[in-house]
Amino acid sequence: MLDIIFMALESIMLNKVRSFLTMLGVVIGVASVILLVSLGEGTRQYVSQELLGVGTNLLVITPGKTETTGHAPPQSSTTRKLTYDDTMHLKRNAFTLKDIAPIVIGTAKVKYINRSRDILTLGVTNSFQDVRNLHVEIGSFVSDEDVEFHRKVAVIGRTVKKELFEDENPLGKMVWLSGVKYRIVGIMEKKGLSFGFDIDDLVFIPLKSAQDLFDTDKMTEILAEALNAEKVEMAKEEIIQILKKRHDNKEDFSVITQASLLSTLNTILKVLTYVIGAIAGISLIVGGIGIMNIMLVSVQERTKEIGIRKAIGAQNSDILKQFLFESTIISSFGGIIGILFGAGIAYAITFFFPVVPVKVSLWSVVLAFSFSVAVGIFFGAFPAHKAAKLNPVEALMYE
Amino acid sequence: MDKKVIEIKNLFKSYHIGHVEVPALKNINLAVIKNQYVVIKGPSGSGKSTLMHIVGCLDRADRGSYYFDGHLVEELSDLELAEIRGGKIGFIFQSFNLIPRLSILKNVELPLFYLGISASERSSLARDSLARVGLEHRLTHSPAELSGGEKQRAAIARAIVTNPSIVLADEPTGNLDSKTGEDILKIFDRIYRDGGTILIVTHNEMVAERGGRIVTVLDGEIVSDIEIIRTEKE
Ligand SMILES: Nc1ncnc2c1ncn2[C@@H]1O[C@H](COP(=O)(O)OP(=O)(O)O)[C@@H](O)[C@H]1O
Ligand SMILES: [Mg+2]
Repeated sequence: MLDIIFMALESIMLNKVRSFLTMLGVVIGVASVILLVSLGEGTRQYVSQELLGVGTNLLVITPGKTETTGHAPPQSSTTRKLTYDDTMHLKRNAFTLKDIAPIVIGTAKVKYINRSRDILTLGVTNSFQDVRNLHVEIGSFVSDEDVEFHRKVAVIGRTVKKELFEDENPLGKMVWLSGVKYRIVGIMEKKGLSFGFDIDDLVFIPLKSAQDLFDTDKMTEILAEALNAEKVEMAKEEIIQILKKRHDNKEDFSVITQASLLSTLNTILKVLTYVIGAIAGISLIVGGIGIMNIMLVSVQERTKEIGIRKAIGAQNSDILKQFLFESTIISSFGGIIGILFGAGIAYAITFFFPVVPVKVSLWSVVLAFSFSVAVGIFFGAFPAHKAAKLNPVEALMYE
Repeated sequence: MDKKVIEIKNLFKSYHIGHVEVPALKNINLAVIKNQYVVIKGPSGSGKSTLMHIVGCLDRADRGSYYFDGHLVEELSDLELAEIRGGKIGFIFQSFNLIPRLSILKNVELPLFYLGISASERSSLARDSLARVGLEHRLTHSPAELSGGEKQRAAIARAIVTNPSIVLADEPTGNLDSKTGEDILKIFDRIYRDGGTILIVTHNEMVAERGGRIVTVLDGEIVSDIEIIRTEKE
């Protein structure tokens, strides 16, 4: 057994360039499988992580029905808005909710002395901090009184702070938000990018002040936090019950749970990963055909040798093994090199482009390797069989 | 005791080229007993190689029966034939048929490899065999580095390394000059003297004279079968 493997290795080494080129097909196939699956897995894990960071107890209520199940949305009725009263009502009546955080979102031109920028501005209540899991670090957050009295105070994110104030201490400073003067009372903790969006590039102001500023009485969305993870579905039902009653018994809003979002995205990304992995796998099959091609040439070239081996006692199975080992060794080596190559590129990506999520998973490595071994056996089988079946006399006479 | 190594009865073999049937062997009857030195001679195209291939279990006859060491070859499977080729027959070709990319030692070891003999035993048996043909100093050379005579000696070493029941040689000196051919024939003499059984094909008269028995083939038929001087010693 060991001898046959050794023998196969010898023939591979004898045609180094050819063996290497043959191997290259498998190398590229395996490397692309590893790389693409790593990208897919990385993305999936990144998404999960980000969503988990937000909190799995989270529910998001948005105006309008987005989850169209079956029938088309009614054309006649215009989307009813979600109001501050809706929020208060929920807060008072829902048993399954820990807290609720209405949000009004708009863009304000933020100006400090001579620096100005358009920045996404969120009108929030104090509960936003805990519900969304984003906290103030220096100073204080928007308080309930701030909301009640339409106070002109603002809490800024780290990016805003850096761009408008540089090294200056912004606390107590006055900024203009679309022409209205606001006093900065707090700076948010640093959060960084999430899905490519800079969470630190935000300005928070009291909800009612935001309604004044953007001249609106509707909530962009309402965040709700269930008492615990088990109560999320119950909370969803309860929210629907309560709001429906206030909305003429119409479900003209949507409640999305973070958990369902997570599992949906997870499923989508998993399927996507398999699909791109499988597409990359096709290149492995192409590599396998390359192996078969070269093995056929090799069998042809070594017809005489096969004849000699048979004449001195080689059995068909000996010849079969010899060629099968050869193709399998080529493909497995290609597989190993491909794995190192693919994983190497994946790690290089994480190193040079940390934003791109890459995760080399063990299952993809194991799968890619087994697949490359299988490719060698499968595509080597035909040439090996052909060699084994050669008639000894005809093979000996072959020149 | 006249133990028959080979016994062929009423053997026929034809080749088919398209729809044309080319008879190569017609009604061959031949028996070779242990420690006999038989020379088959005949002009080119008379069917000598065809006969040797059948005797060597490389090819099968169309009709007739062939017993090797008492086994009816027609009834043997491919696997059993391979075992006989490997363990009981030593085949020597006109064109040496060494595997070019293996060293001389590896070439000689190869039949033992297929017999499943361990690496260390393979090596020592192969060295012994190469010493018998005077090639003990050429172990690591590749066939290309050897002269024609040396190649044929290596091929003989490979044929006798398994201590076969019979050594078959198809025009072993055909590619060699007469001096080198003479050296090769001396090796056959020695194998014979050591108790070996030899069936050798030639169309060279000088070679033919070495044997104890000369079988003449013409157009696929045995036309004469003469025993000369030496016969069985018992
Ligand atoms: N593979 C083959 N296909 C067709 N005809 C063959 C084949 N081998 C040999 N023959 C024919 O069979 C006859 C005997 O050939 P061969 O046994 O090689 O003779 P020898 O060895 O005595 O020269 C010749 O006529 C030859 O042309
Ligand atoms: Mg011939």
